[in-house]
Amino acid sequence: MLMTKWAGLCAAACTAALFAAGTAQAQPLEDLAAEAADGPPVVWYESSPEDDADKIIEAFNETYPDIRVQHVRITGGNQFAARAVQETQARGYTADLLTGGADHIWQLNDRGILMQLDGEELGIDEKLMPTDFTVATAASVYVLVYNSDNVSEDEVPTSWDDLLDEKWKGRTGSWVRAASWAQLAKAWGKDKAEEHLREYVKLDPFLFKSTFPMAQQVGAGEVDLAVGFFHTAQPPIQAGAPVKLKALDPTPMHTIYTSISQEAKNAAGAKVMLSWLASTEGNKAYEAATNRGSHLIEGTKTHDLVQGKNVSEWAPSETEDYSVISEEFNGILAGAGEAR
Amino acid sequence: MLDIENLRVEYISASARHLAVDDISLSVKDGEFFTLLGPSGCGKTTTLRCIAGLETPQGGRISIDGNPVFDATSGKAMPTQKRDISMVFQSYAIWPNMSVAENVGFPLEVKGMRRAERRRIVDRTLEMVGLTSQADRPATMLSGGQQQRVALARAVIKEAKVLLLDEPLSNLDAKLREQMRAELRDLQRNVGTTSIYVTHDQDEALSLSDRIAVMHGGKVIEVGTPHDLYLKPRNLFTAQFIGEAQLFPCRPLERVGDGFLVETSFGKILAKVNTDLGGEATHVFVRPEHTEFVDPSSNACNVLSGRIVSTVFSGKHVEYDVETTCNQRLSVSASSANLRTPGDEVSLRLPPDNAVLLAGTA
Amino acid sequence: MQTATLQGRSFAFEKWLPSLLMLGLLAYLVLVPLVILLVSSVKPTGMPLDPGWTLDHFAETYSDPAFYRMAGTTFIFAIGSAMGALTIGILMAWLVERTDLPARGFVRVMILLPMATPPVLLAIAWVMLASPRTGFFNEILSPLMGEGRHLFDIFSMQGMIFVESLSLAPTTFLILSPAFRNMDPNLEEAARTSGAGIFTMIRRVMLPVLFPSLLAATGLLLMFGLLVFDIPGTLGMPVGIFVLSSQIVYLVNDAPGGLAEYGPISAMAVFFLVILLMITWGYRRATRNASRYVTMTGKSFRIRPYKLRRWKAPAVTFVSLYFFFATIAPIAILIWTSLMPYQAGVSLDMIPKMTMANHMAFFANSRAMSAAQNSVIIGGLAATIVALLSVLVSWLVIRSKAPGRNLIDLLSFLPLAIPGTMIGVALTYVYLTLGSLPIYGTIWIIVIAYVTTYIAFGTRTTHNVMLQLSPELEEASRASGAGWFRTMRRVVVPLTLPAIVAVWIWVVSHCLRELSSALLLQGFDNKTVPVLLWGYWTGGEPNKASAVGLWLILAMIILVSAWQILSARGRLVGVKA
Repeated sequence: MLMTKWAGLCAAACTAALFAAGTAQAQPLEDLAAEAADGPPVVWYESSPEDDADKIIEAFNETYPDIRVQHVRITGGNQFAARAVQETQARGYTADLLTGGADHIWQLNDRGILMQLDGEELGIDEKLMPTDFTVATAASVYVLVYNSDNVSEDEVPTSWDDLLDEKWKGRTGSWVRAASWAQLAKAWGKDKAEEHLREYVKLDPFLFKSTFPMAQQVGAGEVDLAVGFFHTAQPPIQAGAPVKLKALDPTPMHTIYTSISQEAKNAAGAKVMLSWLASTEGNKAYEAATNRGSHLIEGTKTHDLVQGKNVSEWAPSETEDYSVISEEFNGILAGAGEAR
Repeated sequence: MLDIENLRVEYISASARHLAVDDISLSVKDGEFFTLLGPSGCGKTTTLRCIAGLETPQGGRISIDGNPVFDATSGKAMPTQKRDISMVFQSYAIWPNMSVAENVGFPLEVKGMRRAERRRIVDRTLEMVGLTSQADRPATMLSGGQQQRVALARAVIKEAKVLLLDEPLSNLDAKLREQMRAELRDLQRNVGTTSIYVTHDQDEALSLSDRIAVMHGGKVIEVGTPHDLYLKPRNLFTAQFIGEAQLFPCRPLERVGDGFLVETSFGKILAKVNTDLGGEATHVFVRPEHTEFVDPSSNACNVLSGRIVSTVFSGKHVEYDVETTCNQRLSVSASSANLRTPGDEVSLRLPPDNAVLLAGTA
Repeated sequence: MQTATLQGRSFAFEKWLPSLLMLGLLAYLVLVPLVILLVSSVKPTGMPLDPGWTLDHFAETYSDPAFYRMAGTTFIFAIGSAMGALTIGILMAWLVERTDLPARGFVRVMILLPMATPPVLLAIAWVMLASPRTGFFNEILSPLMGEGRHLFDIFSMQGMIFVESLSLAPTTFLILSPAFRNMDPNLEEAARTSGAGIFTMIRRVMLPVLFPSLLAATGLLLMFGLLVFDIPGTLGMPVGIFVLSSQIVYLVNDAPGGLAEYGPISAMAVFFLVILLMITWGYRRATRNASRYVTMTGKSFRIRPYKLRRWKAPAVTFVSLYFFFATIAPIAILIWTSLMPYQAGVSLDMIPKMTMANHMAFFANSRAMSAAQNSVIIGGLAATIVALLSVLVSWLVIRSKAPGRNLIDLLSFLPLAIPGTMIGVALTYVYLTLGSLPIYGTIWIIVIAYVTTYIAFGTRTTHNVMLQLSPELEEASRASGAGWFRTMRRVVVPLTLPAIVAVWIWVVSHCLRELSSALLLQGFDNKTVPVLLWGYWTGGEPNKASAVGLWLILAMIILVSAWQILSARGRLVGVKA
């Protein structure tokens, strides 16, 4: 009696294991979704404000109503990466889904925190996947942000050289980090980018610790013309402020990547969510909430923004070069104050 | 009632060790008004604080009414609040956050006495110190003398075995001090509590105490009644510290009847106090108010002649500064009934009954 | 004679027990983050659990000329704003506590309001008031100045110091006002009856008595000035004035490499630690002779306000000017901003665009309720713990002869030198590893972070009052038969209540605005109101952030007014609060 019970249990366990192994090879999205529905919430580390994240999750739940997603907002990309590392070191796991910049994602991958992904299984376009551990889900694109009351349409620089015109002296602003020039160095080469930056510094730009308040200051008219991000200029524009944008060629940008952690508590859910974010529908929903979409996915505003322009960005594999240039350029830009 | 044995308190600072109380032993009787008298820094307050348990001595034993409260050898101390004492502080330590009645009633509140009963006793005690009308005022609104009474009432109400008083009158002005001194004495008599009183003021000590311990440099120099300490101190320091005393170095000569004859720089003097010191006497003194002006023709012993150098008139008394024929200066305090003026030739007598022999080095 | 046996406890045990308990608690709160900070500073990656050891972070930080340049700028800023805040704070505290200035209760409420304003909002308010191109003051004065010229430029070192002074003045006031209140009026009167003029009295009587408080306030303000970021970040950075804290923010968020650079941050924090140790040492030396500062002895204590007479008009002008600059103007600008759809200068053209949408958004926010609830719990708990702990620490340090009290004092001041970010990092490790205490991601971890961060302010404030309190007041209680606990409850706490309440209010208001550790420690359901505000701010919605800020200020008004009303009522029955 006892023996048969044991045997029965063993058999059941074996079939379950076999079944699980079999499906893991090519699990269709629907199966993953079904599995995810029983799991714990998908914890997602991302930098958008909670209200925006709510909209994304709402849209996601329209397609996948049974998968719960918990968004935790972590601002400051480096802190996001540090937190994921800390959590993994101390308790063995971090969030399920991780969204961050190239340097953060590659840093996490170096530490073996990220899961290998099968793009085919998740139905993700391969151009979104420079490697097998991450997916390009959005981009921060540098544009000129200007006050349309103070700067007329035909005055706005149409090239990076126009930006250096004397008339902008004391009227222009920039993020305190020279990241846009560091990215331009990819298209122009370091020397040209550095020269441009040095010329720009002579205009006595106002330096902002974040491009969000900078865009607001453009709206308020304290600064007439600034080098900022497309997405951080959206809030004043949407609120009706006299702020307009212009993308220059080449267009520097940062791609934003999303990965799944190795020890994800609900890996199936994370996969479904990632797959959705990489889809046109999901990406548009993401963009609608955060103003950042993937330039690689047709139909997004970000795609249209850089359409026909030369995109300038260091490849993730070149992060080292980018870091060195970036640090040097930051120093040059910071020198703008000392020159005053 | 209160026994202190070999009490020792040491302060160790970065630079030095300082012996604040150096092997003190005292025994205070039930109902006694006992005063620790000495100059500042003599260790009297430290001793009092040790009794209260506010200071932890390094050595010795203290017991109150037969119950040990501190024992250095066993390393045990009874905390202040468990000791059967109450205390009046130099600064009164009236709690500004409480009313007069709350201040006075606090020891009863601690005992867990009910409000109504507490109030009854508080009222009675306040009546005793004449503060009935102030009961519900904030304690901070009182004058200095009134605050002193509150502090006293608060100490008395606890009905502890031992009442400790740390220079309670030193913050009052002279007039009030004298008045409070009398009140304090009456109160202690009425309540009958054993009291330990710390002061540097000899007048206070003499007028209040049953017995006085004179302290100096962390040691008890001499213990005695006010009468004894004033009239026949055994110790040079006591003689100097209590009252005015002019000490004359002397060489003992011989016993003469119930007195002892000593040689001083101004002649032979017969002394009748502390004659038991005999050959060991090093000094002799007579209080200025005991020195008498006598008829120059007088033939009595201990008579010196001299000239008045200066006078200080203070109403009741006149202080004379007299220079004797052998260039010795003497102070004399005499009644103002018979005034003398500087330059007068006078004869002085040092009554043998008031001439005190002392041993030791000044 | 000695028949009965002694029932007391071993005094050696009694002497050590409180120290050991307090040291244990403080070591847990302070030493743990400190050790993690020090470990971070010698780890190649700055992550304490990563392998390897290195001194490179120190070598790089301290061999970089930019570090010393920034340190110089930071000192100018810190010293300048400490001086400014002290000048305002001392005058305010004296006017409110010791003179017949009109409407003192009202003044006391008003002076504390800027404290609840997150500094980033105060800074942005000042940008709108005095920026060279669009600042309100410059706009209305432009007819006088002529085209293209401006009177004020808030983007400057002077501007930073000015705004930081305004922002630190309430803190200074809170530290100093209990000290002023407890000052023995006899001292003042003695000076006055001996014919001393007002300035002689201040110099000869008040300054010496207030010396420990002033010293503590100065030390505290200097440390705040060294570490603060928002105001120099908003007002200095645009024109290239960089302070050490901006370097920390850079290392945390933006440094290339992908990971927050905790290594160099920790190495830099050692610099702050050294400065803090020097300040502590100086304070201990200066206040060694504690009895010199006793001013509340339990003798006659009647406060008779100093009659300002012909100084009344200047005093009222000074107070009004301060309120105008620190409270009215910034709050007015915040109200304006909160009603605007986007950040816009004050102008008639914008009036038609006014909207309540920002305020509505805050109340419609599904997280607003739980964030408010969290903030109330966190603020109330942290403030109460800090206030009680501060009294206990001060009692041990100033009053008791407990061994190790200098160490206790140091431990309670140290957290000031640890950047909030590093406290967050440390607590993250501690509670991630301590599986038995599952508070990671909850409000409790934030309470612990705040207690750690604010204990320094708390103890500095209660120290001063404890120094002023005569030990005899406690001894009298013990001699009356009261035990330690009752003595604390009936004597020490009531007499230090002004300071305790000051600490409480200060901590609550800072909990209402603190971000660096709250952000780092936030999980899914421990969000606080400032994090919400921060969300709006960093999401590019300063107008909504202003709306939230205004509601925080309103909460502050209610809190401080309640305090005033309660203490005024308390005074009627003779309890000073």
